[in-house]
Amino acid sequence: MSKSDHADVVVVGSGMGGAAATKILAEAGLRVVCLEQGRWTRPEDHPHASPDWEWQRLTNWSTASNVRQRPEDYPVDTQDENPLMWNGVGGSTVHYTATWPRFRPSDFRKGSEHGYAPNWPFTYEELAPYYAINDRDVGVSGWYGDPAMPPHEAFQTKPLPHGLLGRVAARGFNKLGWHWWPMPCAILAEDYDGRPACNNCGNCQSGCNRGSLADMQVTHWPKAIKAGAILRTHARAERIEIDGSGRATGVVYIDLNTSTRHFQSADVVILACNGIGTPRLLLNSTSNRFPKGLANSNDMVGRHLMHHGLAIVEMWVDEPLDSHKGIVSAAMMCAEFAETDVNRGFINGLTIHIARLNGAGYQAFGSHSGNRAPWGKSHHRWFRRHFAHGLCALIVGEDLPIPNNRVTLSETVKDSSGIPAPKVSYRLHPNDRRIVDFGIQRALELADAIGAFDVKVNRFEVQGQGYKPPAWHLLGTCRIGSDPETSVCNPWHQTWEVPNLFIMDGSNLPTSAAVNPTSTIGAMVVRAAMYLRDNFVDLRRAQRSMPA
Amino acid sequence: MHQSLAERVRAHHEGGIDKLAGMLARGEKPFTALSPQQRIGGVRRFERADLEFFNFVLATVYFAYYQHPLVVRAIRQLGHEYNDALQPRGYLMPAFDPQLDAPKHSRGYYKRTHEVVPVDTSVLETLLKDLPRYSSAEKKGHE
Repeated sequence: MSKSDHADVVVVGSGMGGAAATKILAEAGLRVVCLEQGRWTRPEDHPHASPDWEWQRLTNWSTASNVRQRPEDYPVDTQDENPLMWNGVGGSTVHYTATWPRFRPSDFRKGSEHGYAPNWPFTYEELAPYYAINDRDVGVSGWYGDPAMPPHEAFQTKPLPHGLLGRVAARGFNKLGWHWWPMPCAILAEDYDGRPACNNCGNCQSGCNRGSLADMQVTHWPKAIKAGAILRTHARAERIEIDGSGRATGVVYIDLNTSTRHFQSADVVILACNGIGTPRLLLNSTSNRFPKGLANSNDMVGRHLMHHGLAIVEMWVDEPLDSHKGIVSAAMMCAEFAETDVNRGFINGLTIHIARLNGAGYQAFGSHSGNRAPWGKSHHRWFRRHFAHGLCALIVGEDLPIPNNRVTLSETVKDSSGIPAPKVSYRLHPNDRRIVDFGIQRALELADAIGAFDVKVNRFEVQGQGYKPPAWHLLGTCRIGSDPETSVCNPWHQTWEVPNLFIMDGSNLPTSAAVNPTSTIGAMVVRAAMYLRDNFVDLRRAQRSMPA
Repeated sequence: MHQSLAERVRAHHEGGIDKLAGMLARGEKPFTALSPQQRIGGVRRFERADLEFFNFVLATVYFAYYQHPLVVRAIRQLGHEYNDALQPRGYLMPAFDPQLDAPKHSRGYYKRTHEVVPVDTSVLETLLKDLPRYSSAEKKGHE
């Protein structure tokens, strides 16, 4: 096994967390090496310039790694969900929708509010400055002044076009007397930081070949590399090594081009492999000192997996909405039901996102709801009536951190390098199912308010298997906290048991909130990376993790 | 389009072409030799017999159909602006217009951090009884 030159910091994973951490530490003059098992995605690799772009979205550009099965993808052993992730430079920011709302203050205080989820070890107000820093780095479009959120700095660009779809949805929310607001998105409505504005092509979920969407490949990595960071692609991390004192010494990784093993030593190790990949790596890094996996003596690694409770209600109206044009998700968000109100029959809340329906093939084949154009004589009549007349109401409910919703190691499935695959177990708690059901009923009220002639509900129920959601958001499995018995990391993302091992990704979140997490992941990582940067002299030699 | 269909079936379903031909044939007669009524019946039988494979074939057909240049032209003739390939053209949409698009309401609220106080969850006791409990004292300071 060859050894690479010693680094100050080795980062595993190059998505939102890995990119933000690497950039901050490299700009501080540290020698940072980032290991990424995938490769760069070039603009010409995206399907947007090809007439078969919709077919590619189903196949080689599928958001589900188990469907896509590219050489850099690893299998996820699960019957409970469809895990969605991208394994390449930029991580899942290569193909996400860049929906960018912040968590609300109460999301950080669920321990105080009802006690069925923990408090975060810091408040929204403490995280707010880091949201602002990360927003400036990615470029966020939005409309200032949302009464459903704390005031904050101005957005980098104005909102993206609402289009006919947004105006009809707004009319419906107004009729119902509900809150709605333009969705903050990490997609540019105006040129910013050398990147062009979005041109509304409508295929965000195959990424963006223009650079308008905040893919870490275009926002952070150029700056990190310019600052001296080394990004090593096709480098699949196999395990973290430790020394006799229990400190991490570096990462063993496999070069996917040559199948040879290498060791990257470093003073500090940062894991940023997402909420499935990070616990998997820790669980695969067993030793005499850590027989249950690295930093896992308290059996918390991999537990409390959260995805959000999801449902989709699609609705079609007589007036054309041009729902194939514009960003996919989301034109706007309704936060009317975001805060806890036990009179509804559950704790926590939900938001409703108004999304678009992709192209003609996708719409004919049922779009997001499964409302398919029939084959045969009535096909064209259905298509003429429905195409570009629909909108999607996505229900995003907060799901609770359930200990047995977890990532473990598969006993039967391995990846192409022979590393045990992650096994994912996930069930929606009855409380969270009530949230989804409540959201569906509200979306049906919206359909009525806008005069929809057709409505279709997708509960993500699979016959014989139950609720099997698209798992976009991979959260909670190595959470931060103030109590070393119930968390994996301290408030500064330092693992409790290995003082020079940090985790900086979505696995850190103690609660899921009722909105997309990437904005919060980025802010949280900026905070943690700055702490590490400012205390590096001590932390590189630390023998014990800082108490809360 | 037909060549593209066959390639896609082959690429994603081993033996798929032969299986498809077998599903759609009627006795010794291939699908293409059947009457329209017989073809409809054949497709219905296929759908009932192997829904998973049928759905795969249907997706293949729909997506191939809607990328065909003649179909793209037909969509445009319906009055829609529609791109075959999405880039570099994209779609021109009217910019966000504060007069038309900005919210005029003042609806919506959020709990400030200091406003987050314990809620009475006793009515949900049965629903939540299997869940672990967390202390509200976890965060020290800054409250």
